[in-house]
Amino acid sequence: MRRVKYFPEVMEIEAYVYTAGPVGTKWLESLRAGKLTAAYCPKCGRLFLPPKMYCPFDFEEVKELREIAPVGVVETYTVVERDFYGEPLKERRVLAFIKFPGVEGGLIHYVKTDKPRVGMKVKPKWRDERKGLVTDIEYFEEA
Amino acid sequence: MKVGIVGVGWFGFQPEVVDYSFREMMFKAAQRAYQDAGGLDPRSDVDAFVSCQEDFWEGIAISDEFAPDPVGGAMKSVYTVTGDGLQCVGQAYMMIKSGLFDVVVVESHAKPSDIVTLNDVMFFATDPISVRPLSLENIHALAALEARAYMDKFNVSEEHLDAVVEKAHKAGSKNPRAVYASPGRSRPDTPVVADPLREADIAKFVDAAVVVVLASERVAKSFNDTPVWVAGAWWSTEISSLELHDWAFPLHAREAADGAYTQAKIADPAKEIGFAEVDNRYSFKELQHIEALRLAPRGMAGELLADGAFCPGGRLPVNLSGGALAEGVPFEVHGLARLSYAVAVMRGDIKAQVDRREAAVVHSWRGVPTTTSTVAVLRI
Repeated sequence: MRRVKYFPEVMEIEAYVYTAGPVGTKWLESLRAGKLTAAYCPKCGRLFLPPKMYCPFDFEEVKELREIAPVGVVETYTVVERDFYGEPLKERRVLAFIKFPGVEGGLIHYVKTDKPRVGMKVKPKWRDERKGLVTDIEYFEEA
Repeated sequence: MKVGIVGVGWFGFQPEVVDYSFREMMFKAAQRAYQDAGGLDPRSDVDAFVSCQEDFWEGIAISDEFAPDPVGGAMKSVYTVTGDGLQCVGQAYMMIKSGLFDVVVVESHAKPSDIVTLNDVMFFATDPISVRPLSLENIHALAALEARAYMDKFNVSEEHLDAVVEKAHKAGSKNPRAVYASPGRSRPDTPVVADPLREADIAKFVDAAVVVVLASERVAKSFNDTPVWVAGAWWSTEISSLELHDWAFPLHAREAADGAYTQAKIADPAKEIGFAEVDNRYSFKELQHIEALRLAPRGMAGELLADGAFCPGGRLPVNLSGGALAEGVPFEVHGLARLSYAVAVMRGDIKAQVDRREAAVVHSWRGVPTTTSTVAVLRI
């Protein structure tokens, strides 16, 4: 007899289109072009990542992205050894939060290294075929 | 106009509540809360209901519409808040303070055991442009980034985390609803998940529902002889981009605490607060939150905890319940779990090892990838 205590469902959320927005689109286009940029606030003069069309600090409208030097610093990192359900990963992965000099915020991304450390200088390893995604940077590596 | 807690009811706190859906869990918790409030009738005695929930936790769109009837609120004023249950307490506090409402019921429920792909659902809360394409296999890795930033900046050691885990499981072993409490739990013997976090640093999930009845001072004693007064409730969210939040210190918790302390006229929390229930869904979070709530100077909670200051019977016991590490994380119910335990200790329903029960602080954080905390100050 089939048990009816539970019945499986699949949430219909597989297909969804996110709008990157005016500044987000420019940022993704710059990634596709192999360039790192940050949002520039004309009021406070701050550069920040990830970019949005409003400054999170003073609510000013942001229209401009400025190219930044593609050398970041690992502010914090973790070596991920197991998945959420406790199973060992096939390959340990280093996830880091990377800051860029003079830029508020930064990027969360993978770093390819056997010896991660706080303060380590890293640079992006760009993919040959880029699509306009943050993963156009395959990973960061020691600079 | 003071605001009192006059009834508390909970149901579940099991890894999997097999026989009841979330609506039935709400109903059971509400029945118990209304009995605790002197047999209150929700159809005639309650002015409004507030429910804290999230669509994706339930697998239902517009789940607000499912809120009213399981707590007796159909055809009445029902508000839903997409946040932690303690934020609902804040809403109820404001509603009663306004003078427009005398009795407000607060509810939150969680059934993580129903979610087959929990990591994916949690990861769905990250920024779709800057984070989602990274496809993290483990959302806890974001907490691990915070853990290293905090430990590196404030010289917190793995031994300090060992002490948090040991304390949580020992305390939790006296808490009947702490299903994950295991007094012999040794953190160093558990595997590394995302360093510096080991398996024992990460709370498991639990199915639970909690209902709380709040009432104005004018009517509170008609429901309960021993109301616990809400002296302050405040919450705070940082910038929505995780990349722009402080990785080393939970400023949201500090903001929420300062707001609640101001309302409660508490100038020196470390002296005036008798005990605390705070979020410890990751071991290092207990230390951070102790510091954010000004119960210890920044970077000092680890040493003080290892010395016993925050243990049961210590100077200022923190998480007499064992917290989320012992009870589990029931999503948005978490704040009400902390609150309901504190209320039971203050009323004397739970005989806890605490010298001062007159003033307590309760804190909840919504977990990664959020930067939202709520703090409430309770008095008897």
